[in-house]
Amino acid sequence: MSERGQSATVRDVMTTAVSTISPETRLKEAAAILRSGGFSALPVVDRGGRVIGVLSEADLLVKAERPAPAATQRSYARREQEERWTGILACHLMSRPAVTVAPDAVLAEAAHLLHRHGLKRLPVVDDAGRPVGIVSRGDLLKVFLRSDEDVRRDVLERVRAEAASAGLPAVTVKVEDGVVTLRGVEVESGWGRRVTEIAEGADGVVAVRNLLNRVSEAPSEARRLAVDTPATDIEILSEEECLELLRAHRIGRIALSDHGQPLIFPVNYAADDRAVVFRTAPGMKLTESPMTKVAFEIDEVDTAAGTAWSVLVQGVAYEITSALDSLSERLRELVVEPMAPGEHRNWVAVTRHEISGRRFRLHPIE
Amino acid sequence: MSGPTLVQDVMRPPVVAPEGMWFREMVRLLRDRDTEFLAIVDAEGMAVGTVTEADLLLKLARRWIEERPAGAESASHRAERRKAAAVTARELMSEPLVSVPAGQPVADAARLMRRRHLRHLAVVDPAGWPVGVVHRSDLLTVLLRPDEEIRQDVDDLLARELRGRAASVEVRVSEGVVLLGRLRGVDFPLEDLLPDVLEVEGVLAARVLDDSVSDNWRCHP
Repeated sequence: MSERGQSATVRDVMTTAVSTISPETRLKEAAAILRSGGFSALPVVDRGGRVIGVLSEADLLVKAERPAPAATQRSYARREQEERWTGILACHLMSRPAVTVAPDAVLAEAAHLLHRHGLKRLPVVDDAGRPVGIVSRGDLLKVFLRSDEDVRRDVLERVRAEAASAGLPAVTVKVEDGVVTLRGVEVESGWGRRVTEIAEGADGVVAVRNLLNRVSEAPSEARRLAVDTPATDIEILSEEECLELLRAHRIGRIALSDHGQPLIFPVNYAADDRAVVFRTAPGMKLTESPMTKVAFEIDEVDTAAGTAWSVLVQGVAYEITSALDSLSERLRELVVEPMAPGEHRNWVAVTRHEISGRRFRLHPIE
Repeated sequence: MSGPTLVQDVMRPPVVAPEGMWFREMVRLLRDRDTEFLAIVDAEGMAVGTVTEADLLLKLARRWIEERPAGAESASHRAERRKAAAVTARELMSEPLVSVPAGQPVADAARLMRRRHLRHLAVVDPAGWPVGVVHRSDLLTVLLRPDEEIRQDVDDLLARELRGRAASVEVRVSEGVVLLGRLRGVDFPLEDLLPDVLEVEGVLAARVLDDSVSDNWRCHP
């Protein structure tokens, strides 16, 4: 893949062995080449070696239909359409002009072309229109298999460069399965958005969660606050602190909306890095409407110390009682002892999309 | 004739993923199982939707998708916007599930795919459990039917339709293309038989030999 800070190009991921056919290739031979080579489309090249069209599985599929569309649609078929139904050579069925991409195009551009034209593969052509490779959806998706550490370094480098040139403090970057979390202080309006866009531009990023703390004061004041005095009466907890509190406690409140009616109830729970799990009795609201958006909250008020804190998890609840994926299996191994009487056979997981927490000093009562 | 090729003759085993699976796990699963299609199942194992390579690829094209003006968006544009931002299978999948029974002829599946612009179909049993998947490329196998088999079916068809007069028609099959030739003294219109010939599995095109329309047997400039 590409150097850090630089986006991968089509050349980095394309297949360089290209099978091509001529416009006069018979359809059955083309079908056999597609089949034996495991291709989904073949570039059609003219005598000069230039790509003039592409013959794809989709083009050939017309011929697999029974009754043949020619018999049923003849009355309103236009001439070109009719040629497709009755043709026997590659030139009759191929799509033209060919949609192609240059080898130095970035992956996003190739993805956009595939998407806009509903294609699975693109011939990669040089300046003279000659094929130098083929790039498929699968080739482009490989960019998402980049390791979290590589993605993190790439994002960090891009953000740092931007921050340095703007004279702003950098942000911290965390990456989990390609999902980037940005933390820091939004010292200038628009900075958070800019950082998000920069992070999204790095190869392999699935999504960006921007958790920069917004400071509402004027820019100069905000900058002073961010750099000199981070401590205020309300302390924003880091993700690590939030997770630590989640792991250390056992009882929380789950809140959901039942057809617009907010509901809230206490649950015994267990937490790991990605999700909060609890058990419910069959027939509970949550198990009847899987994938509901929920909030989960824990808190504590320490009157002796004069402090209080709360942690809020926002995410989606779904049942994992018999789900077979590795995450669900792992979550079911967590120990959860329901406090309410009765059977609690159903497992529910809340995958977290957002986690936040604060700690603050209690105001003395006057 | 042994009956048309059925979906169950060409389908492959389904690759199944739970609806809570994350984006990158799905990319990895597609690669490891060498497929481009996931059947997404709920906690009970019922197929509820599908995720394809094309859905995942929207993530890479998100810049263009997000730039589209949001005001006059169509339903499919809204779905694309949702998919481009998705992290889990549930957020990404297409629903409802478009599926086909295993006992359906391949030709029906081909028609369904063309009309719905799909590259794959989930094959489910009557209870809704995924039992297979057909890729568009699987359907093309019917086009590779040997000429001798096609010829046999066309001969049977002529014997059925023309009875005693079948012997006065010459049948040639070459690379899936059927040519009907009139022998001396045949007075009935062979053209009337062409729609039936086209319905024989594996036939790419059919023509009467003395047909004056031969334009589309060559490439146009």
